[in-house]
Amino acid sequence: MLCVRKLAKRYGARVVFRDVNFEVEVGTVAAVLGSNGAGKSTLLKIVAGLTRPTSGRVQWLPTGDAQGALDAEVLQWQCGLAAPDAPVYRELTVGENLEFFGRVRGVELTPDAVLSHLEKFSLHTRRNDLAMDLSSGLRARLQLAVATLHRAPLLLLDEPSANLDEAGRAILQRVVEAQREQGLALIATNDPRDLELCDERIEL
Amino acid sequence: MEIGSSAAIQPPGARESTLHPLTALVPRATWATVQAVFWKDWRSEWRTRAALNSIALFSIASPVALSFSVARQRLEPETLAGLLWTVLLFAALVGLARSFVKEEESGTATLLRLSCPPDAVLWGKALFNLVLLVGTQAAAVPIFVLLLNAQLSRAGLLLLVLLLGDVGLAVVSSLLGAIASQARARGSLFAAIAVPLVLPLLVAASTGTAAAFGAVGPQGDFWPALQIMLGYDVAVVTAAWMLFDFVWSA
Repeated sequence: MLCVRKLAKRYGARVVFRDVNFEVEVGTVAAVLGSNGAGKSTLLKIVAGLTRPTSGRVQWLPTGDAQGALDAEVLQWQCGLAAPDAPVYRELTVGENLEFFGRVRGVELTPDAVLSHLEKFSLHTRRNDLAMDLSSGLRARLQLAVATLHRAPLLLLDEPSANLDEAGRAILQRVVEAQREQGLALIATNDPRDLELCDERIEL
Repeated sequence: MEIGSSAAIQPPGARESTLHPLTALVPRATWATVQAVFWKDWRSEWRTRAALNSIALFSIASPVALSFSVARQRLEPETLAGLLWTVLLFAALVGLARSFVKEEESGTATLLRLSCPPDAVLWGKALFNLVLLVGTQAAAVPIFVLLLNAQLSRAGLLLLVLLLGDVGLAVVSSLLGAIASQARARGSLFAAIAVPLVLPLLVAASTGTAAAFGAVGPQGDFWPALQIMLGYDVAVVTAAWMLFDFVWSA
């Protein structure tokens, strides 16, 4: 279970959000909603351990037991993230991106495993293409492929539908359904189509 | 459809957290992860040649320019050594921060922070910087020696001084590159904080190189210079190892 308590973020005098509280159970997909600038992407980065909150805390309770709570340092390694401002390496090929993120995450990937994973995102025919040569939609699929490479218990998706076509949206739907089986997902979005994938709403 | 290929995150060399005995695993750098960062940077650099072109151009153009400006003059070994290390230092300043600056400018630092143990980022990029320095110096130093008529009386000593100097420069520039890349004035900040920090290395390297170029007297005694360079390298490697996690996660 993901547990967020009294979370606040401020940049100088500007308050992004404050007193944010929610819990998301394993097997649940939650939408993070709010107007532009409400702090949806910031919230996801705080949950991922990439940005420090001004106050409050984020805990991951793998067993639902408060005594087994994991701190932010550990939580970072339990996350998969796909976000517009977290791109993959444009100068590497699709396959090289997957191999790199697999190796640094400790997932040893054989060439067959890379191909098999890319097939799930319909990217197998573009394996040797540089990421910079992909369309924005295909790059979004590659980001999803990287985010799901290590079967993260916590999947964070920021505006996942922004550049996806219908086929890409079907892939996203399968990713989200698979995530229910292995953990939970937070989706920061304002797209009504994404809300159809979600069980809960968190308003900022 | 099953997404993913392994049951759980359990990176090699992971250590257990005190908070949860089964799943709280914080990955540590291993040789495999260091290599992964190095090859990622190398492939990326080979395809864009952003740092390589800057360093190579500066390293090779400077001796050519110097050879014209001091034409017909017989320079002392101490002067030659000082000129060589000035060229190598500024070539390093021009290019070595690029590996971190590029991560921040392109936004890839976000996924790198999320996915890769900080130690692996540091040592992978330091190794990349070292290879970049050694590679460009393999071309630049012979050109310098030929164009400026340096008498190379101790080639082995010059190689040792270059190697010790490169290790220090590569590690310092990796640590400072990580700091500077998070600032707005990235390029100028890197040079401003790097120059004072590498001065001890520069002085010792110049003394050692002067001895390699045939200096006699106090300047010909290279052992103190080698000891200072070795001590400097040990100090910066230790400092980088201790500080990088804080710098990278800040």
